[in-house]
Amino acid sequence: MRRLSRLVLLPVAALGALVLTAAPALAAPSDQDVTWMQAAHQSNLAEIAAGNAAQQAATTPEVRELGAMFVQMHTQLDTQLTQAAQQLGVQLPGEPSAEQQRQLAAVQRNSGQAFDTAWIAQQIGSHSTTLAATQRELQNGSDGTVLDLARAATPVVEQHLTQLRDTARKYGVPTSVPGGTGGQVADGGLGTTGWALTGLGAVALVAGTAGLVRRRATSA
Amino acid sequence: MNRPRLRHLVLVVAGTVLVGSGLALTRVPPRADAPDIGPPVAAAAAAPELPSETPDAVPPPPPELPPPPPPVAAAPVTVSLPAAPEPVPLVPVGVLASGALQLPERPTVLGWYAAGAVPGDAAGTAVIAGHVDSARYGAGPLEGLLDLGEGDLVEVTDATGDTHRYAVTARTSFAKSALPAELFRADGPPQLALVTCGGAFDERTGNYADNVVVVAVPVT
Repeated sequence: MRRLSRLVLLPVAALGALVLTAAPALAAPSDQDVTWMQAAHQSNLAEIAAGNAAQQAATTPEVRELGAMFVQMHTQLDTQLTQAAQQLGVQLPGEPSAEQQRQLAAVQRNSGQAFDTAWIAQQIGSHSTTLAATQRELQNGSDGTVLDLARAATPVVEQHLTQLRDTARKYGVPTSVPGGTGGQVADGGLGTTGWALTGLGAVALVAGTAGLVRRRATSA
Repeated sequence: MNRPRLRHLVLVVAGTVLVGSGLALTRVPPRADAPDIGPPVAAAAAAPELPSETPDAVPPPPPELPPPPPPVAAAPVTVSLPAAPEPVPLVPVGVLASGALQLPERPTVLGWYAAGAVPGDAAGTAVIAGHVDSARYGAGPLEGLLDLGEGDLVEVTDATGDTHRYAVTARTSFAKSALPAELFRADGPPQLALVTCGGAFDERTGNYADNVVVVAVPVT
């Protein structure tokens, strides 16, 4: 599986040679191109960090191996992206976004099998977002070099997503959704109000009846 | 008729009304016992019937351009519910070894079942689940699911800023052990399923008896 999965990097390697030999671009990349490059770079950094975390904390060889693969392939994608950014004069952020860092920290608060479950779910989410952003670049981007990067990244991210989903399926579908432990919404009936009104009514009824009976007795 | 007699009569009438309305209020069920609406969820999750014939009044578009790639949705980040004042944050979640969905501890953060469909996908059920309440943190925005009606709008915003709109079609309560597995299928018609707890609350175990499932379909 590892050997096969590396094959999708061949176009990336070929593109690397192309980017290195290309003359400096004449036209500046569009806002969309720059936005995608910055987001893709942060995603690569986030996936590398997540891959390293999996190698340290995952309980199954399968998840550890996915982590190792993500480190290797996102490092390679990011090398090409960084070289292109230098040529195009695009500034790249130095670290994953605050949200990406927060998400990884939340996954790392789990241990044992719960870590694997949380890691796979988080990675499906982050790769879905990366794929959607890359597709948006392919539809709306303009710079040829950046579009080549997006084209080369697409099958890599798609393959990761497929492998993550295959791995998640091995855990089966949820057999229970433990959706509440408080009992507050079970207390929301109007029973208490109803009984209070009933009590008040009974008092009024008794007082009124007693008054009527007393009057009739005194007037008779 | 003299005035004290009138006063006592008023007391009797008011008392009778209060007793009657009070007793009626005690019959109002707790909010957790949300009544079913729309077709049962299992029926809604079944594969759609294909139209037997398509009308040929409209000519097919010229087949010149290659079909655009099917749009892929980014990971969902918030969901807006009619009863919640603000969008509710979402995190990707998976299945634990116990078979339980690994839901966020706080009812103010909901889980998106990452191995299922992504909200905005062309097919499959996207599942969003969470605690209706918590012994530690109190009730959360999902208690609004118990009051939703047919046609109410639910909006999911994804990580690229796109919004996916759904309209509620059904609400069904299941005994927790009878939650249908079809709910978690990644194929079939596109829909959103919101899952939480309801029904009777067992103070001893701290668990509800039922899962409440609200199904919503995409609005274009």
